[in-house]
Amino acid sequence: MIRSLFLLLGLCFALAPAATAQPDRWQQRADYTMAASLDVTTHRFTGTQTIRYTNNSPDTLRQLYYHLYFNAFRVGSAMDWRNRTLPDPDGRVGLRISKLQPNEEGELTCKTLTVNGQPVRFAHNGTILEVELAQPILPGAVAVLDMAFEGQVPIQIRRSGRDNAEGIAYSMAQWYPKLCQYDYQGWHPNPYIGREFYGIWGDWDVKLTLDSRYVVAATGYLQNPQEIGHGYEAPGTPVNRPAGDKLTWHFKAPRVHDFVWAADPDYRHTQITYADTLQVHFFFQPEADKDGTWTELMPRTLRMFDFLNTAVGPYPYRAYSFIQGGDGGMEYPMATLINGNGRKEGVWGTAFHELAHSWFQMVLATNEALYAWMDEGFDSYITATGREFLATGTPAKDSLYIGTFAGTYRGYISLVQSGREEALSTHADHFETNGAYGFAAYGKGAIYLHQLGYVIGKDALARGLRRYYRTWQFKHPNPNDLLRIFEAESGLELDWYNEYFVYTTKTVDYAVAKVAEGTAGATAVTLERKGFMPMPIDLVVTYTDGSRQLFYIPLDLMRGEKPNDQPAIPRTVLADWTWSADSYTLTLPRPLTEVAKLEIDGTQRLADVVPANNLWEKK
Amino acid sequence: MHRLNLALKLVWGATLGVSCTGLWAQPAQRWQQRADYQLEVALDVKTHRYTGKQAIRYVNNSPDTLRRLFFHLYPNAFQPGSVLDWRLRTEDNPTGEGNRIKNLKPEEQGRLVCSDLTVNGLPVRTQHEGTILEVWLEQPILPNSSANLALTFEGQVPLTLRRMGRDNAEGIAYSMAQWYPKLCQYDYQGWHATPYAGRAEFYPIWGDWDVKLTLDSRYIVAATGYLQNAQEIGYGYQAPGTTVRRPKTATLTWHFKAPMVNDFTFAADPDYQHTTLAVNDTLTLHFFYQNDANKTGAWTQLPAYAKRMFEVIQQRIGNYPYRQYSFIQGGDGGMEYSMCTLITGQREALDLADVAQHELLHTWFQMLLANNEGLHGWMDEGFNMFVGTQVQDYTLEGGAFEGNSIEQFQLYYRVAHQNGWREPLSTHSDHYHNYYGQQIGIYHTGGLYLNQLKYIVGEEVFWRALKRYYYTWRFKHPNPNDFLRIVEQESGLVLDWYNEYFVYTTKTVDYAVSPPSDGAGGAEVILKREGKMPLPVEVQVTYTDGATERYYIPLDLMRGAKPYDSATTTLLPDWAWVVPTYTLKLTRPRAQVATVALDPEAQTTDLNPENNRWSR
Repeated sequence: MIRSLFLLLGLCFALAPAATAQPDRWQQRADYTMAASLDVTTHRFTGTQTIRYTNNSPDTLRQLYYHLYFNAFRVGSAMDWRNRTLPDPDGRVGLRISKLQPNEEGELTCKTLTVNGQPVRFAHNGTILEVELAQPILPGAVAVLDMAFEGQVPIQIRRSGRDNAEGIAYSMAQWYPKLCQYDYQGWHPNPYIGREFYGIWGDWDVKLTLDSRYVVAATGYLQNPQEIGHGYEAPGTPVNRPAGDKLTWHFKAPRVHDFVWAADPDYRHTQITYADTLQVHFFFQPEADKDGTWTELMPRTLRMFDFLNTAVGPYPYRAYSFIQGGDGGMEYPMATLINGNGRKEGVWGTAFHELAHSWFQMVLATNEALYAWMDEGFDSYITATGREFLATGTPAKDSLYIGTFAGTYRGYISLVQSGREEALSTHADHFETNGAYGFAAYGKGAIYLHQLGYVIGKDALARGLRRYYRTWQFKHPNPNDLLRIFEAESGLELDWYNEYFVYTTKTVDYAVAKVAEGTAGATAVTLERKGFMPMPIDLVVTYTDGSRQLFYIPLDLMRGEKPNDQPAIPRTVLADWTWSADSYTLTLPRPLTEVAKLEIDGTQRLADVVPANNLWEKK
Repeated sequence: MHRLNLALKLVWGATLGVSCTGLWAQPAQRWQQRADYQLEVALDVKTHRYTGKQAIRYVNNSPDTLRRLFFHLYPNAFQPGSVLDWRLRTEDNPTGEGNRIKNLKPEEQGRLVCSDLTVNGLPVRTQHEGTILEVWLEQPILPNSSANLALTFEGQVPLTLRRMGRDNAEGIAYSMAQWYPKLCQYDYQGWHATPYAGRAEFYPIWGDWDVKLTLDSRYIVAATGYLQNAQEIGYGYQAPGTTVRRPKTATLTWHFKAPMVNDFTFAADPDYQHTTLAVNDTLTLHFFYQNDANKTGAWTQLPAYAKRMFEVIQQRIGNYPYRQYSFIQGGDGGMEYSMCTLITGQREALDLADVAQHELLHTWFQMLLANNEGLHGWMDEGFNMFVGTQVQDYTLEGGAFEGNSIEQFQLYYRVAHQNGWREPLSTHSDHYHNYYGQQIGIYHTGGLYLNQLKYIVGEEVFWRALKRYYYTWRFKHPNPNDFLRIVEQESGLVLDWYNEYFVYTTKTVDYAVSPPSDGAGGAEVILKREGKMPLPVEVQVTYTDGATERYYIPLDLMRGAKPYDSATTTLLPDWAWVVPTYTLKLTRPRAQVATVALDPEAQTTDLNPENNRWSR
């Protein structure tokens, strides 16, 4: 998803694709077949759902849990309470849920449920349906879950709902009973309070029936375009729409973990083709394109695909839809719902951010509740590095330099100074403030990668990111999985990096403490570690004749050295800095009179919270 | 504050200065490496130097291709300028514990140097970096293959500063722990080539050990494993009533084997008394001490205590899988090793039994459930402390130490909180900034982790889960998620939130009770969640006529309730974690309510117990 905070982040660039080998962790599978019918006058819907659930775990399952997200939009829900009690609730929510009228509330109710044909006991508990299995589901077994459900589409409050601020009729995200994820950490039946998701991989087959005047945009591939038309039909072919005032839309989506759709009678639907293999769809009301925002977006998206396919890896599906809807921007499989009426650059930036989520979340399906920084932060990083390419079509020559990340680092430092920072390992729902959550997920997550480039070198970062995508696509990577990839790609030990930067709020602060005349025409330099988090050090010395020398001090915990990623500057590798030592001395080969300037991390990738003491200049 | 510090120091001296190790691994799902060691070493008791050769059969069960190897060379920590030396200089340690390393003379320092390392017969490039030997393999070790590692080493035994060394404070000649080149652990988190900084303990590899120790024949050796040549050695190892045929040489070679362990420790002293106690046909306990230490009779009394310890621990946790265990006077407090412990021995009987009990319990929580102590020290120290509170009364026949109680743990926890020492339990032990933060974290907060979990899932479920944990994960390397999953399965409850708060943050529990008010049908009591961490809530209400009612309010995140007695306890609807208050409706009017008590048995980590109770 995107928040205003995203605007603080710089946008920038670098990367290329590869093939696949997979680590050996089990994951569940859920294949959905659904048929739902929506009444556009009452905003109520009914449906049936069959899930073929494969228990690939080594565990015997005695319970099941479903998310019933629409129940969050009811007075007194967990989400309502969370927004009443947070010191800085989401401006889009605030007290709105507490004031909903019954016909504006959301509802999702399970009517009947059988497992392998046998009725089971279930209880509604807010946004979670708790199911007691009559027969356990054994390891390796497949169970067929049949449910009938009904619900009411809420007024659009957050992400999903009807009649959003721009007048889009239906933004239908998280609208159906969604089986909770079960993994090596057990069940994840988190009550919805408005934050993150974590879905199960599977194939989807969905039939939606509604008023035939509505144009539907959705995850997946429409199976009956010649019956539907509305811009889906093969160009120049006739549409054979069945009689009646309703249409049934049939979508299939292989290998996804969610299914979203939107519907509006006023959608304009256009398509463009990317590289012959991918149909890119656009759905927007004419009003949103009155300044050409959407028309101009279309060619830009081709460049976005170019960038992301190169920097991260190939997009694996045949369709993607940019859909006007929702309340800002939110990512879904093969689609995004974004607001469409804003400033052009804002809409385009949001479109880019949401599209990048197809890589960081829709294909690398991390548990967002636990590791939001792995999708939001990495998305922020990659889109920041892509900004120049989008603008000019030529890759940035050197994305090392802080440039567009400067604001992100400043934001991080001010969060640290505020005392409200919480560790990245905090569960998204349980941060004490939205501000600390938002910055951790978007800002610190982006810094995590940018700074990792400082530790392992920019090439290993770029290669590692692609390898991460290749290795973990269609799975559920966690922070250790990620770090192991970067260890493999760099040959360095990096456990300490997650231990500090993910699991604590300890900070980096190195300083040039002393520069003095040494013996025999040399200069003695003392560096200090003032912060608790240890780091390798790049110290660039500029001499009075303008020549420069890079002194590289690896951290002992790394058990190795990065390659010189600033080849323009000759590099000298010094002895390791022992992490527990708070100072380090080195000798420059030239007299003090010839030393003009010393700078720790001239590339400004280090999240040093006191940048001022990184620099020494001859007075 | 000052007094509290003193109190803390006392406990440290008694129990905590002691530390421990452990590992764990998982049901079928997780691979683990294996290392079978063959060691031959000769120790010169005049120079305190030793030389040896080592062969390791290393089985790479990982899915990864290994291009490097790392060994620990722990004795190198006892050199000026080492990581440990620097750590002692720069950590925040209010105990005033000194740093003696920087003043060590050359002959007092430790050293361990390797040479001639070959892998499958091929020489490989190595580099000594303090306590770590870095190795670059000529040929990578492929997934699911084994490699034969061979090397020679030489070393010098340091003065005993921490855990190991020569000439400890009680005059024990050699406390030989972590004395040999020890292959670093490689697991799903990669290499654990952690330089020794003293706080984090150990994380070794499972395997079989075959060790030959040669030293002055006057020294008596106590060690991990089973002596293979007892009839050549004697010194109390021989079969009772048999003749010892000791070679008439200046040195003796002791041959030990230890199957399925993850470390090998020995101690040696010419003045050791060696006694044994056969607990049953399959288990013999050994005791090694100087007469000096037994002036109080403590060592004479220890065997009877030890036998009771084995009884109660095996009954609570599970079977001890080896045929022997040794209590050895040595070291610098108490430290657990495979099949043995080194403890300082000049103590009163109960004090000795107290330390012995803590270290013995580590056989379960670390030597068998071999968790990564650097990352999860609370899983061995904390679990040990908690279980220790449960077994001491039995073991010591009512003589349990005051410091070993949940009340004491809660006190330390609050002190750590108030002083700002706390860091999340997920912090790597070496990287806590404050010494008390680390110690109270892994020992007491770790103990409270279990005690509070027992409150959440119920007594019976809890003890069943602890046994299931042991039998599922012994001889492996369990992590916090592995443990929690066992408790989830045994309880049928969802508990992810518990680790998310109690392990990954320092957020605290604080519930409060408001004065009752009159409501329709009975009094109403507003309960408040004032802390950030949610828990299920139990309330005991006493009426003026002495009648009591008990209410149990599960937390929504648990997705269920623990077993409770419906005759005495009323189950109420869930308390949603996001909601700051909960209205409890009583059956009788306000005028009859005498007391309302939250967490009536003080089983949680509630930071402010004073607001848990309302009395008329």
